[in-house]
Amino acid sequence: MKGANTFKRFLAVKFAVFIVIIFAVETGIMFMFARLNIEHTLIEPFLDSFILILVMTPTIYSLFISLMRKDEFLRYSKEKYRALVQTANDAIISIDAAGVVIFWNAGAEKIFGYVEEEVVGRNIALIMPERALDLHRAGLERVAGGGEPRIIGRTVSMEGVRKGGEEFPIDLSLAMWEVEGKKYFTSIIRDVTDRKKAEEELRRSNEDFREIIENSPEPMALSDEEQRIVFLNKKFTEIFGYRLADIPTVEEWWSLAYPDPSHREKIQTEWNRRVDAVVREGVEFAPMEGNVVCKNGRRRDIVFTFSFIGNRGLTMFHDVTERKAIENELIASQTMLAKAQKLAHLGNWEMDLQTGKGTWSDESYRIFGFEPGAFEPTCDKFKSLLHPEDRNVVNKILQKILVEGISSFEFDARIIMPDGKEGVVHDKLEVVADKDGKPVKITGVNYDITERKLYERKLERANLELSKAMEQIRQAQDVMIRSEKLAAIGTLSAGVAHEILNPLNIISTSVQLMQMDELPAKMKEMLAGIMTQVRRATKIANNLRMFAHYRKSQKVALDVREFFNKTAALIEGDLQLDNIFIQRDFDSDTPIIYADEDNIAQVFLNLMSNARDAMRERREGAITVKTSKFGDGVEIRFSDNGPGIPANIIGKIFDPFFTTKEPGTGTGLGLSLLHTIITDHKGSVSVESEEGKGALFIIHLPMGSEGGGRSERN
Amino acid sequence: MKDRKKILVVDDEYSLCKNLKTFLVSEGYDVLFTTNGEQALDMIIDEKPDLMTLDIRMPGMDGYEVLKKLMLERTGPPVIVISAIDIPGMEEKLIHAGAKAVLLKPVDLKALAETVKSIFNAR
Repeated sequence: MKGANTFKRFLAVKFAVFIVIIFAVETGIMFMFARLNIEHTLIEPFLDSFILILVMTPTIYSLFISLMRKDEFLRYSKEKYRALVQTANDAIISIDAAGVVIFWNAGAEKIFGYVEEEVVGRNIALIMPERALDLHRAGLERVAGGGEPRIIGRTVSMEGVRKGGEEFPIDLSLAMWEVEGKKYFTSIIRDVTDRKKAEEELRRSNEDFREIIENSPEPMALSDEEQRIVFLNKKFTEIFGYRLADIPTVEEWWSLAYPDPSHREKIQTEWNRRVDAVVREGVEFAPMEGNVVCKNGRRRDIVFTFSFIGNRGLTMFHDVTERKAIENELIASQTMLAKAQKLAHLGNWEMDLQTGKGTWSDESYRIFGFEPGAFEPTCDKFKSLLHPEDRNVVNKILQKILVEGISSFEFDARIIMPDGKEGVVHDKLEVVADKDGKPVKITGVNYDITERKLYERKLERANLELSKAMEQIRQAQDVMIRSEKLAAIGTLSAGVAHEILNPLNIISTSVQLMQMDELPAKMKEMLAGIMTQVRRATKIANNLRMFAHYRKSQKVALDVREFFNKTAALIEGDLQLDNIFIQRDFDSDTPIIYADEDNIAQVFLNLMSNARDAMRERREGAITVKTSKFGDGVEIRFSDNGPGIPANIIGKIFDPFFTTKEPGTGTGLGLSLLHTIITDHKGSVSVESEEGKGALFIIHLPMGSEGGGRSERN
Repeated sequence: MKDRKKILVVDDEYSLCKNLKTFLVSEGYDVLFTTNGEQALDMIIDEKPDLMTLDIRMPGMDGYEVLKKLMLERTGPPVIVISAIDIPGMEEKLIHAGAKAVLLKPVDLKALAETVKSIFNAR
């Protein structure tokens, strides 16, 4: 059987070679004849018949063979075919024109689950989904009716039905053959469930990927190898405003997002460097920052990252505009706080009660005279910076917090700066407790109050001086009031005394004269009574007079310079209103003398008020007061630039009641009194004047001695 | 009569002048008087009194001036000032200016008589 088959095959091959050679020979001869221009009417019929014979011979031969070996050959071919198809993984199924299965291979068994015996002889509809049946039948009918089958020679995708009813995708190629006028169809079917699944998977994952990118909360862009942008997600357009149409290429993105060429170049260079690193070294793209201009012109701070997905580049953008703004705000507010602390000389600090360690603000360091961060701020360090006498304040505070449980505290402490200067800080602290109420931390602020303390001290001193000055003025006022009161009373009482004493004098002398005569006793008695009353009235008048002039003088140590100022303070303001200014020329040698303050005040006041009255009409009056040492006492030269004293009256000015003033404006006693006082102090007073050139009073006062004495001048 | 001393009384109060005159006459003196300081100076020259009582506060030329003028001329009679004025240092000042004695008003006539007598006796 096998030998016959080999032989048949051999024959068939020889035959085919033979036919090819025959055709080749004929074509060659025909070609040559044509080239040689040989035309013979016999050549073509000869060649045709020759070739016909050659062609027919194998047909006849094969007919012969087939007739002879038909069964065997068929068996051979069938066996070979079966071996082939049975080993295939694909299902190979043959049906006849009615759709009945006539062949079912092992692949089909595997794919559809039916064994050959179950299927052969049954309709192919068994393995087709119902919806496909109509189409299938129509196809078969059409082919049966002589029509061309539509799916022959192509591979189509459709569904099959496994035993058990499961549908699954298949690829099907169909061949049609005819045997003895009958049409048969053979289909090769491949189960593509896995491939479909994989395809579906891929499609879905592609979709998922795109979905993920599209719906990513961060802007993303996909670019290809040619630097074309192929995809922008929703967020990208939302944040930057650009659509794919706006930036079809990466180059256009650069120029729109970074209109400033220098910034663009910087970013681009940096970008390329990083992408290069990814490509060459396989490292991850290091995120970088840029300031992107959006389509609407706004700017955004962006952090980019980039990665390759296959040969595409995926750029992810992270919008940090708000974070940046917050960062900037934070920086600004920190800067402001630091500035404010600096301006206010106020620092803040914290200290952990367990460790004794803490943190200080920059200004805290500066308050203590150090650069910020110059040392680690511990409790002990703080203590060491304090003035040695103030160091125990630290223990006091800790005692208060840990033992007494106070929650806030304020104190002032002196500090010693690195340059040795002393400063003062005011500290205000609060205790921070944990949830059990146990103190764990102290937070505080310290103010630099060095300057404030300095000013406080200055102010204190100024206040002291002011109150001293006030006291002096008050005293001087007392003196003046007293002097003026006394002067006024003196003037009044002198007037009263004079006016009363004159008539009393007349009465008295009259009575005395009458008493000298011989008079009736009763009359004498009455005259004596009158005299008693006259004496009484006289006594009253004298008492009145004495009230002004009878008093104790009290000589005390007195610096005439200082005392002059004290007295002048009372009327210097008034003088200035009259454009009169006092110039002082006090010799530092001017000694202290013993004198009665009230009296000396009276002297100065009288001199000044006289000068004022003299200079009142002047545009600018000047009083010059010089003091110097004279013997063991002082010389006071008191001059003005008034009109001077006419020569004819200069000798009278110390006379009592002498006055150049209008009646009622002066008593005429001022300079007389001055003379009396100076004389009383065992001093002297003289006057020099030239008309029109002012007057100069020269007063000499001896040192004198301390103590009081009756200074009665009746 | 050379024995009878001539006294000039100067006071702006006419009544006082008259009283003093009455008293001093009763005491045995010749008495002139004037109520005017300037007139007093004239009368000293004209009448050459042996003594003068002088008031200080007078209209026109006051007693202090009269006194100083007399001292200046060193011609006048001894002067007893009879004054109501009493300010500190007044008495010293008047004595310094040349007054022989100072009597305060109201004047005690006996004291006046004694003062006059003592001045005359001192001569």
